[in-house]
Amino acid sequence: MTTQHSHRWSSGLFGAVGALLLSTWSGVAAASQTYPAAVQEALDTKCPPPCTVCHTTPTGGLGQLTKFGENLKLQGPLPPSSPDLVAPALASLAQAGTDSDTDGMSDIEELMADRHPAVAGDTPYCVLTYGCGARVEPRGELRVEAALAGALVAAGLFWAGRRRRR
Amino acid sequence: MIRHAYGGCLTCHTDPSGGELLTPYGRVQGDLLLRMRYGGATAHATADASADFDSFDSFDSFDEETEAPAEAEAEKPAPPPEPVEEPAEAPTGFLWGLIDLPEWLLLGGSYRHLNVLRPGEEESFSTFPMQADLYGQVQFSRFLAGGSIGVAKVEPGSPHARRAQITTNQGNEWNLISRTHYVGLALGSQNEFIVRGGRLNLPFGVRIPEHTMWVREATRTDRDSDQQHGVALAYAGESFRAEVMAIAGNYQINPDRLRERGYSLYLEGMLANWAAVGVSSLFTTAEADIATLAEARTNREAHGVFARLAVVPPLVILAEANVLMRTDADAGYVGFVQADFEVVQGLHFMATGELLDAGLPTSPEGVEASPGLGQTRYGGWLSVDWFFLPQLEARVDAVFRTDDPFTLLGQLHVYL
Repeated sequence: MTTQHSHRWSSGLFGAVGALLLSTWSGVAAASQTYPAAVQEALDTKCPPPCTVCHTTPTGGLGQLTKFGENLKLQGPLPPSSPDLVAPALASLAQAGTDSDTDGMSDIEELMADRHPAVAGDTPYCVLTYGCGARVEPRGELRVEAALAGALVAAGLFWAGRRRRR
Repeated sequence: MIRHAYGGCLTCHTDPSGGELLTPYGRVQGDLLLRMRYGGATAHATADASADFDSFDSFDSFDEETEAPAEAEAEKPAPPPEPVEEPAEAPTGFLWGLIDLPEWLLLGGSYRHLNVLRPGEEESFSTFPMQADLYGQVQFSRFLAGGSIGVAKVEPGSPHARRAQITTNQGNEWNLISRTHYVGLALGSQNEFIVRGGRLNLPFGVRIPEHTMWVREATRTDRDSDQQHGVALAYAGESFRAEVMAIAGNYQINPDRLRERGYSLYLEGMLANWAAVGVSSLFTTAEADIATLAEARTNREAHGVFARLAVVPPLVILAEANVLMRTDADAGYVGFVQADFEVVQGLHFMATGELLDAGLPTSPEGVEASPGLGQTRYGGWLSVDWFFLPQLEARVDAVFRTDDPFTLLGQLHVYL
């Protein structure tokens, strides 16, 4: 195979794949809207509630519902991938005034106050944040594992440097 | 790759336990062994599974056979069909060979575009980029450093991609993500030991790409965003391979009390050139439960066995079974069996069955058993995977699961 032939292969494939990606990317938004986002929009909560407000597993599922999830489901049809139905169901739940964890505060009031409606007491759900700088804890503490990782890197660089000098 | 008597990972992947970035040898072998050939000589003709060696990293037998295709052809009872005219070797380098990289630098990448169809639902169709990552690794003598950088856009509340975020958008904006990043050293006379520190894939079970398979979700060991920061030591030997990792926590989530710390490991032995079996173990502890956000010390364990078996040349079985334990819940289990039938080179038909019972929560009291929690939840996948052109893959999965709507997944995967 000649180099010229190889280059034609590369250029042809690269161009075809590039065009394909551009065409798909232009129509891209994101995955379909999820229920947590719909809850946040409907109740103007501080953050989208985690899946475990309604489900007993982090990835959801129709059969894995918390007491709050069951109460919400009772308010009307709430099939999967139907985020438009979340707001009416929440409005209906507000009317019913349910208190899933029986701690004296209604489910809707708890959701709006950043409290887990299925866990009794002052249990904020806007806790977990993502990203390197998204810290909600004090800075400045020396962590043992970070120090160990740093020492390992330094030792590796030192060792590699010594070998190169030889 | 166990189909082709490749038991180990290191010769083809930079990660000692497989996945992501390929070595130049891995790129060539991937094209030779995985891609559809459209009438040209297939790898089956030149390197069938009769290679007589039981080793994770010895490819001598394979290479000898690929160097003598004429002999292999001569032994066939009937002449093969006339080969279609195409370049014998498509370029396999980064960006289809468009850029020549120096020896010390490896680059790669993955773009996966996913289409999801749930017939009969209000929003029955969605299409989105599931993965857009670049991978790289530099190696000078025994010192190496590498990782991935990419972008992701997921809805608030999505369990995917979030835990690998570098940037801090918490809504449905685009975020920069890094699933892995590490520095390390290759040790031993054959570089058979690799020690790495950084954000790494957890060494546990069968390293499959299906990140939503229950064995990966329930053990939190997927390659989507379940990686953790820590230090890992891997060994790739003649008859077994192993990796053990001390988990320091995921420093791309906050606050610290939700970070899980502990260990994860596997040990896999090659019983024959067609059979590998292994054991895995994982223990983590955190001040609060990242899943439920409950403010109580939460321990999590998973221990199990796995196997990769090339039963007959076109059929490969992958299997894994794990016991699950966690604070405030009964013991549970998760497992899967996947049969992968390669009809012709490059075209795979797969059938997968999976089971999950994560264990009935004992706190709060009164939680009723449901499928997946105190009762068995069943799942099944029927899949077609087609490696149709160099570095291009198309895949369709029909997924049936207890309590989930029927889901059809269509995926285009471009690997750079």
